[in-house]
Order: sequence, then structure tokens, then C-alpha cells
Amino acid sequence: MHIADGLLEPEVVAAGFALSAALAVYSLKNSQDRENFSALVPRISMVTAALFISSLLNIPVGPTTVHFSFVGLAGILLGPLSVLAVIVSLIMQLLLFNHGGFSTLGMNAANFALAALTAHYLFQLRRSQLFRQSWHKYLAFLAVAAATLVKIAGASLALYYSGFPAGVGLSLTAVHLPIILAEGLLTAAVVIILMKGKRVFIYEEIQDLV
Amino acid sequence: MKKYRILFKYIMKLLLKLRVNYILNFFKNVSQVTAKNVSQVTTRIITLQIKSLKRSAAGIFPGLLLLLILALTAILVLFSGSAPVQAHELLIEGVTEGKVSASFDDGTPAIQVDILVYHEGELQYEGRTDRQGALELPEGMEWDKIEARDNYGHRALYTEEEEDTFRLPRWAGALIGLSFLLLVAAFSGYRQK
Repeated sequence: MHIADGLLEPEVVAAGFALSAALAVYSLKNSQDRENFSALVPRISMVTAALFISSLLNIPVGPTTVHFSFVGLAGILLGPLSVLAVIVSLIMQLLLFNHGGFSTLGMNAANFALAALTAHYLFQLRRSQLFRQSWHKYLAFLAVAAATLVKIAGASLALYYSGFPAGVGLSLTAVHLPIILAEGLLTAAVVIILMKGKRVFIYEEIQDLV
Repeated sequence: MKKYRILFKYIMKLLLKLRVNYILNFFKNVSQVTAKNVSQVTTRIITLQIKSLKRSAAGIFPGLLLLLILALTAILVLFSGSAPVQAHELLIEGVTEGKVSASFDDGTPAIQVDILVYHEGELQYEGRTDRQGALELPEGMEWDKIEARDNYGHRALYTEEEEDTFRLPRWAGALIGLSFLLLVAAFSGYRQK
């Protein structure tokens, strides 16, 4: 889901950089833990490592290949701070794996960050009256599915405004269905394991302790 | 519990010396272990497994658990020769005998990819690659730039004078990136303590 160099029009490239910068500022302002930010650095860098390595896990689908991204899990574990993890991991993937492109870095980062934030806010719903406490695993799956769809929608919108046909969105969604399923199940499993112990790992629950 | 101890003993004896009466007794014992007991034993093993997993993960950061799974899978995929390593970078391998061939960076052919052929900035020819990732150019066609793009956001460029550029092997990239991030995590964690 990394858009390569040279596919986007200059206006879309500029919009991507502006959007990702705005998202970075928004996330830093919105996170309530600016004071103990340094305490969260190990956590952020570990999630970044997971995001970084996940793009090596590819599944061949039809004529192309799709890979894991784990933005949904990053959103659940890091909350608004996941935007930082996403940006760092994308830069490292670009430098070390040649994934994506320098000009499209802004747009890719914006898509991934929006996806992570979607997962974060959706997963917060588990505290509302609508959902039972035990439904967090289903909500984790839904959050990841929604995050992936947001990512695809962002990328296909960017491609559409650069002259690609609108059908790109549909074909991208189709090839990403296995990823949605696999990533959703894996994230739900990780969330179940992490929520069983006494130590808290989920973003909002850390905030409750602070 | 006694039953299982007996079972275990029999298995050990079976391993040591295979004799017919042992095998017969073994099956006798197995038949005594009812289905309920079997399910109890398996659930016990699973809960113990989860407990030890939790204990080992509790002291570390949450990403480490997932990272371990991912890194192990990535290493397995990268180093096992038979498993197809799928890549995400589109490449044009070159033009030989009037044929353009496109592939992903692990060597799998890029099927149904749009190929655009340019000469002095003007589009000369447009076509799609076949099942081998190849596209035959019309005879005598002049070109100085070839572009490949698919509908999934991949793109590759190829020019005549292009030299082979150095590419970091992906396992090396993964190693560098991971060790950098682990170093950051370890260093900042150490400073806090």
C-alpha cells in the first residue's frame, strides 16, 4: 500500500505532506502524555519495529502482492502517538527496502496515520454503553478492518486525483481482503493476550493510570 | 493424575524397547482415559502455556511479542529457499530482443502491467505485459525511456544508459532497521532506570 514515486500529481504530493504534518501536530497536541513522553519512547520504538518489519510479510494475490502493515494495532497500542510510529517506520522502509517513494512519503504517511487514528478511536468504543466489556476482541478486528479500508480509500483517492481510474479503489479493496482477515485475526489475538495480564498495554488504560 | 503417570511410564518404556505386550497395555491405558479427561488435560496445558507466555511478556514492551512473531516469520520466509518471497517493488529488467520484461524485485514476473514507451519525451507505444511479465515492442521502435505501472500504486522507470544501481539485500535492511529501533528502545529504557 505504498504509492511509488512519480505516480501522483504535484498538487496531491503537496497536499499529502501538508496533511501528514497536520496529523503529526494534531496527534502530539492531543496525546495527554507530553510530560512523560520519554517514558513512552521504548514502547513507541518497539511498535515502530513491528510496523517496519511487517512490510516484508507479503501475500501474493492475483497479479500483485499485498503486505501486512499493522497500523490498526499501532493505533490501539499507541493512540495518537501511533502517527509518530507510522512516519518513522515509513521513512525506514523507504530508505532500507525502497518501498514507496520520497515524493509520495507525505501521502503514504497521511494515509497510514489516518488509518491508525481510525483504529484508535474505534477501539475506544469498547468503553461505551453499546458494547459489552468482553467484546473488545471483536472490536479490535473491526478497528483493524476499518483502518485498512481507510488506508485503501486514502490511497485510491490520491491516485484518483492524479488521473487513475476510480476503479482502482475497488481493485485495491479486493486484493486487500486476505490482509484484512489475517491482520484482524492476529491483532485480535494480540489484544486478547495483552488484556489478560495485570499489566496494561492498551493506550487508554495507560492513561487511566497516569 | 496417577493414570497419566502410568501412561507416561508406558510411553517411556515403549521408547526404550518396543515389545508387543507394552503396546497392548499402552492401548489399554489409553482406552481408560476418557474423552473428558483428555479435554481437561489439553485445557490445562493450554492455560499453562498462556500463563508462561504472559509471564515472559509482562516484563517487556507490548510490541515485542508481535515483533518476535513477525521477525521469526520474516526470517523463515527470507531464508527458506522454497517459499516464494514476494516483494513490493516493481522493476523493469531490461530490453532484450525487442522484448521488455518487468518483474517484482524477487524475480516473480509482473503480470498485466501497463508499459509506456517514450522517445524524446513523446509516447511512442503502450501495451500490457503477458503472463511471463514480457511485452514485445514493434520492430524498429526507437526509445529512450520506458515506464511500467500497475493499478496498485507501483511504478518503475528504465532508461537506456541506466547502470546497475547498488541495492541493499532485504535481510540486511531488515537487520539494520530492527537493530536501530531495538537500540533506541533499549537505550531510552536504560536511561529511565
